[in-house]
Amino acid sequence: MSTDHPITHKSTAAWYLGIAAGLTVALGLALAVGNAGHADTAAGIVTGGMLVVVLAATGRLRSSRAADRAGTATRLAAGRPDERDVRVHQGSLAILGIVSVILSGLASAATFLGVDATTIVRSMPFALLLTAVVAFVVVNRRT
Amino acid sequence: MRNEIRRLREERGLSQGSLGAELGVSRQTVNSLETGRYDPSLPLAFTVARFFGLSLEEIFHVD
Repeated sequence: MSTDHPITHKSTAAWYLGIAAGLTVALGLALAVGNAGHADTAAGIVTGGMLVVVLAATGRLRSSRAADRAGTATRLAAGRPDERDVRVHQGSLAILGIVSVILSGLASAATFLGVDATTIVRSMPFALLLTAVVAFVVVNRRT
Repeated sequence: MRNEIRRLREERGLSQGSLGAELGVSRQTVNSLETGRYDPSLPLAFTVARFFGLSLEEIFHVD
């Protein structure tokens, strides 16, 4: 057992790789959606993707220059979490996983009750994003 | 799990931020440890004990 590096879970290379992978997925998805004739949605995907990258880069910069003032989310976005940050992240992801199973079950049942499936599918990411944010805030405050 | 981290830190005149820097964790993590909201991993518990020059049993107590 080593305690030399107890808090660093992600290397710089892994952070850049994650950002590159995220950008690739966002741009690929935007391209596919754009080619399908939904230019506005494609633009939204690109804007959202770039916003996430800018936030992550800002978090990384902030966690370097003002580590004392950086919060859990900032350190996670920066790829420099300590072990409590990782615990908070895992806890909120666990809640998100349970809620997503429940939501998908309810959504499936709703289609049998005549609710428009397209509406359900398109609203699901927003519901899950909201769940993720609320779960993160609650777990962070309790941990 | 209770612990003596706050007392030990204050005896040494350290802020939560400076103790966090010594332990390699954030100020928030030190605060959570002191308030008992977060139990440290075994490596971090050993790091804390080594920093204060005490044994684990002298710092951490099972409720």
